[in-house]
Amino acid sequence: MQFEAIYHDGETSRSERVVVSISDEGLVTLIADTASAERVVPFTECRWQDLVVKPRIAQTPRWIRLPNGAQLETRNNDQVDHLQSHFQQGAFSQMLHKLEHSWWMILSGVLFTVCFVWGGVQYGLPAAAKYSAELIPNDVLYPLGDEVLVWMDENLFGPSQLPPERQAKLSLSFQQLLNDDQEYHLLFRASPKLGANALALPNDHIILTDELVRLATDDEQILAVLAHEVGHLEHKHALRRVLQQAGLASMLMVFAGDVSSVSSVVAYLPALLIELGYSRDFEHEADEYALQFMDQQGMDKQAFARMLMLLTEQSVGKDEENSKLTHKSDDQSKEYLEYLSTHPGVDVRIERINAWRRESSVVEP
Amino acid sequence: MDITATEGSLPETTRQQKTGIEFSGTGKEFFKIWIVNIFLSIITLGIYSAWAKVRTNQYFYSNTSLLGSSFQYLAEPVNILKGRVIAVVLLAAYSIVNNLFPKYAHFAFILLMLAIPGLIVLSLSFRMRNTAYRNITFHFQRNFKQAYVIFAVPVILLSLFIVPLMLHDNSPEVQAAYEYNQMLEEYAADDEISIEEDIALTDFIETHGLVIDETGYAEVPPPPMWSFIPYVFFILLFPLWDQAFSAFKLRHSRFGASNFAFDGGIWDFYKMYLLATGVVIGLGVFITTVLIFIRQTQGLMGFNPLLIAAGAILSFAVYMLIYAYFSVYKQNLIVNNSSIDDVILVSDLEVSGMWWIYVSNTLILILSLGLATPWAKVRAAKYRLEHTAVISGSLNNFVAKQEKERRALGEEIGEAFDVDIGF
Repeated sequence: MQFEAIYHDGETSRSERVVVSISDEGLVTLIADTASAERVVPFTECRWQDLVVKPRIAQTPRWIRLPNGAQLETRNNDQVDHLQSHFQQGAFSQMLHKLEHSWWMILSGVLFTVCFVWGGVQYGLPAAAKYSAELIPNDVLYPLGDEVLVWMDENLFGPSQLPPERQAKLSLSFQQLLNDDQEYHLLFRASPKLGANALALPNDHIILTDELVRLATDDEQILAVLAHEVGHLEHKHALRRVLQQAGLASMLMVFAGDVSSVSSVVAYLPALLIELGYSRDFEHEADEYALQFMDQQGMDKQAFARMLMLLTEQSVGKDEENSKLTHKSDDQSKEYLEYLSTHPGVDVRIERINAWRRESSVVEP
Repeated sequence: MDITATEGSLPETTRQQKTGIEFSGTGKEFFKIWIVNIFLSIITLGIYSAWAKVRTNQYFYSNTSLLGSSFQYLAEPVNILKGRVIAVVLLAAYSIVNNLFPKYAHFAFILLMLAIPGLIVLSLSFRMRNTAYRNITFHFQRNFKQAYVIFAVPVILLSLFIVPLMLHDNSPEVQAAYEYNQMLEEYAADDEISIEEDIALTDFIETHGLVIDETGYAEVPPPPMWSFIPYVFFILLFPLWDQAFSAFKLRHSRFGASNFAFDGGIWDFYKMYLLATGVVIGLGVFITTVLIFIRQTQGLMGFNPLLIAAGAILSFAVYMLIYAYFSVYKQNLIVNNSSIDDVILVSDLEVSGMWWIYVSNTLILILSLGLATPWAKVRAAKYRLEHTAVISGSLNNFVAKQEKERRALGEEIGEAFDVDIGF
């Protein structure tokens, strides 16, 4: 058997065309095309088994390393494959080329990939994060939460300006709400930087800003927000967020690899949208918890809806001060904007609160 | 290429002749490799991704040919896998510190920044060592010292800018102004300021010597003008830095025993950034004019969705234009000023062509939900490579060099981070 190749001696960039001839026993000899080439091709002969044949990739030139360090470059892939299967057992690399050549494989690959990405993002990652979060004991998380609190106290918070009696009263109502096995602590802080807000830290502390306490028109509204934060803690959302982010990053690494053919925006936009989606899911889960909790305690669930309205009005007011341009935002654009925010739209949340009430009122008339 | 038609050695001319690089990959062919890569990467939990990287690179390198011979990618998947494992561990550690210990986040960030010049050198070294043409490998001399010297200048200038700004923001005067404005907002939250509150505010103004502007808020003292000087220097010196870094990359690169030469001057780089600034300003003026025109014809009706969509598409197109301008101009600048022995490299990319590739690639990627990635990659590679050529009498005179320098342990890690080096 014979095929044509280019001989590269590995010493100089001078290359020669040769004819590679292989006997039935696998003896390889190179025949130079011209007399001048014979000087450049000192190679005499060896066996095919001694050659290092690079795996085949589509129709690209094939490289074959000779024992003397020289390399042959040839486009006669089929002949090389034939010789390989005859003289060497390089099953793995040959199998890869066969896989890349079969339409059956390509089709199932596309189907599998699409299902995997969609299912992984939608269900797989959140479920895996939830499961692993359960395995990580609380005492690992506490020091982390403490660190966060110290950092926030230095950078975001000032001491609370609320009268001690007010703080004590809210703390008492909060503790009365908790079940016996729930050990959460309430802290008060002033934070003009954050405004009306409440945060749940992984060390089982909930921080309530003075601004939120002042914004609320009655205590039940504040307790509703606290129930929502207890939901974040009960479901270990802080930890799950970190785990999901890490999972998403590694998924992106596998798929995008390097998407250098276009700008990296194309790769990061989906990741951002997915992360925002996760964040909204957490908020829904915490809302759900708060509603169940309030129902058990016989609280008025509309208090939660009213608090949400107050918070929106406040932030809308702030936005309007900043720019008069957005005041005509219609419902349609709000719907698109939902995909770009960390929290679900207030309309959606309030709608859920109402729906929840209707459901439960069927159960207990 | 018709092998049988010619005799003896590879095509060669005695006089200086321009020969273009040919790229023969196709989107369809690469799609099959790409989808199998993804499939196997998933079912092996990412382990196969190292093999996937090698097959992808081999596909692109081997389809790139010059004067009848193709390029060769030599990296071993196992080495890439090792680098990736370490990189994933490091990234996970960074992510954990970032999320759970915000206090140390800036410390981790500084560490990462400090590692970057080293990683760039390692990644260049890995890439060059694993590239061969006509069985002669490329090589990058790992000069860490010079890499760090080159990166030190912009980093020092930026720190000289950021640190005074942070100190200014934390100064008592600025903090007092912030505090006053917060107090005012809190007191005004219930729509009226009581007498006690008013007294408290006046006291605060007096003790801290605040200046109140016409809106009633305290004026936040602006940072001193001199603190912007390092930033101005950073901007002014950036083209110089870019030139130094490009020259560093080229002049430490070898093909066989021959060194690359780079004679791109400082002025060439300044010209590139000046032109870019001109383009940005020109486009800014153009867009503002269009917006004013639309405003006037439509009246002050607020923003309708159509207008927002048009604005988004326009800004995307403009962003892509600037992106294309830089990648085209820079590649042309670097390649056209590079040579190796008597071989001169030529690149004649055009902004319009590159812009269209970027825009259409983004569109087909979005419309296909990413499944058209192989076509996008092949199109971009084909355009770039086929606008590159060499002017040379012969490519037959290079000789290999026995490498004394051994493989560095961290090269694979550098490869895994694959810091974009735009070579």
